[in-house]
Amino acid sequence: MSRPATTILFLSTARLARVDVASDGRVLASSVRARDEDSLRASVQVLLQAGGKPGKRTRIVAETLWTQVLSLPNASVDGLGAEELGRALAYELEPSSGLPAADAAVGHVALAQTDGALRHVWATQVSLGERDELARLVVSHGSRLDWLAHPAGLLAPEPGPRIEVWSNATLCDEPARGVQVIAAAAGRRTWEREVAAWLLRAPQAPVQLRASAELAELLASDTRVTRDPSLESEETLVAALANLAAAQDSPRFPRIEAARRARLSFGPALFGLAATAMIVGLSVWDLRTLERDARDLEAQVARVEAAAAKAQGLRREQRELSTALAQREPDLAARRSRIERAETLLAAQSERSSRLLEALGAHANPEIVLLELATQPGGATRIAGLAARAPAIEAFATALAPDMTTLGLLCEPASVQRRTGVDSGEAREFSLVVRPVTTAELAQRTSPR
Amino acid sequence: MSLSVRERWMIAAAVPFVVLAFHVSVLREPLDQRLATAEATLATRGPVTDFGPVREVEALRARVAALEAGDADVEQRKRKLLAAWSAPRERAQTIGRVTELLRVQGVRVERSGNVELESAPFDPALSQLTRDLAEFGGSAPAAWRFEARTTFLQLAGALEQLRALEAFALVVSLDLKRRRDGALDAVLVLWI
Repeated sequence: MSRPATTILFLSTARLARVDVASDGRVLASSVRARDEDSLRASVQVLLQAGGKPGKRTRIVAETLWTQVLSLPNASVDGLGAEELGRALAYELEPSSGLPAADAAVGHVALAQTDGALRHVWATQVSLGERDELARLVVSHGSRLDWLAHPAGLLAPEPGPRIEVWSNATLCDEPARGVQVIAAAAGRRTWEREVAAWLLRAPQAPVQLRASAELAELLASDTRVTRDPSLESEETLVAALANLAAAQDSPRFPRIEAARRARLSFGPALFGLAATAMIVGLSVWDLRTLERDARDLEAQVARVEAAAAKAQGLRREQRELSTALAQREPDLAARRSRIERAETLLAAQSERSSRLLEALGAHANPEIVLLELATQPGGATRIAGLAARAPAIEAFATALAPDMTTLGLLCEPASVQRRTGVDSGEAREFSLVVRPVTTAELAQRTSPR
Repeated sequence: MSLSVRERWMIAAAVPFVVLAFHVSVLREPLDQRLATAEATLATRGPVTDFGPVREVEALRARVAALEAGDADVEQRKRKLLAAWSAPRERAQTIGRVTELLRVQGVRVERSGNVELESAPFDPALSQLTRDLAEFGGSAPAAWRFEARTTFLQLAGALEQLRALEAFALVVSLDLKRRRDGALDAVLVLWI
């Protein structure tokens, strides 16, 4: 069996029906059953699971939808597009349906009749959540939700004055005056009054009443009203639904499209995703910036701490070096001084005797005879001799003095004595003392004058 | 369960705020903590202007290097000085060499022998020399007395040669006395 083109689901308060229709209008399958489930979703689920795979498109006719005819001033609806008009109607419907305008999906159709400055619009309403849920349910069964509608006015076998009573709405229709929908629970006093008012204005012609026998009793006083029980027949209901499933023309009843619902349902998700993505992006950027700043700052801290540690190390080294130098430098100076003193003494002493003899030899003259040379306590050397005459002694001492100075010795003035004896003539005995220069004398010599 | 459009919008608006709150309270918190810690450390440290006494330390290091060099120089000079100082076991050989040198120069050694170190009248500064050398690790010298007959020129030549002797022989005392025949009686005391 080929797949149906359209599946139409009918949900009244008491019955459920499903009709699968081929593209040429043939009924491929149908079923009618009593309604056991209260919720619209559960009932739709039952119908979708009851037959085979539903058609490519699914239409739902549900009695529990809110439907109403509204009369609006021309001025307020002129120039409005279908979508804007739908939003305006949602606000108008909110007090009576109790469904918040922001959460309402509205299908509407303008009625032909006018009433001066008022325009009449027939609207059907369902919550966006329920509509989307039904759409997802239909999609989960491999079909696509085409539209949702209230059954009022959809299943009429032929045009003519008629009253259709549904659980929450009653449709009153006659070709001359058009459609009126009484949005009141059937059987209430308000409902009864408004139906009676409509009947008063209705022409004197038979009026078909589709209602339960109990409700029909309430209107039995009007002789024009005849109860039409045809829709209670399964064949009639299936035929009416098949016609509705095959209908391609522009709607003469309000229907709630599914396509708009799907588009709207993506809005919050897209917004949420975009905003979250933006926040995540900003978060990543912020974290990276903070991480970089923290790294830079920590590197700066490390440099500062390293510099401080280095400075501390330098100060410690300075203390240690200063202490070590304070101990070692005087010690080195003392050792160096002792070494230099030893070297100087050794050098001086090693050459003193030979240089002394060398100097004595160099300055010897025929008028001087050296008799004795004696080392005295304290390192002095006494030089004794004879001179032919006194000036020769002076000359000898004067000549000797510079050489002694270079040896670190001092030549003290000579003591001279006339030689006693018969043959001594002018001869003089003399003695010179050559002694080491004292430290005080050395300092006196080197001090600035 | 189906959500209304209003509820969806509320959730869509709430999710970014939740993410933002997570960012601020969980992700950002440790980084903020790190930044605060680093800033506090820097504030405590203050700007680093004192990098330590670099120049002073460099000058001190130079002084230490000079000290080491001076120390090495002193040690080298000390070793050299001590090397010139005869060890006790070398003294007999040095005495022999001095005696031979005197003989070669014509100085006739009549007597020689060991004497007390302090017996000869010498420059007191030499006492300091012995103390210094002892402190450097050298041994105390021995005093050796030579009595000889010579001439002035022979003795001068001998003393000159003695200076060039490659052994420690230091003349600390020299006494000469001319004899009637013109020769000289010489008394030499050497530290060996």
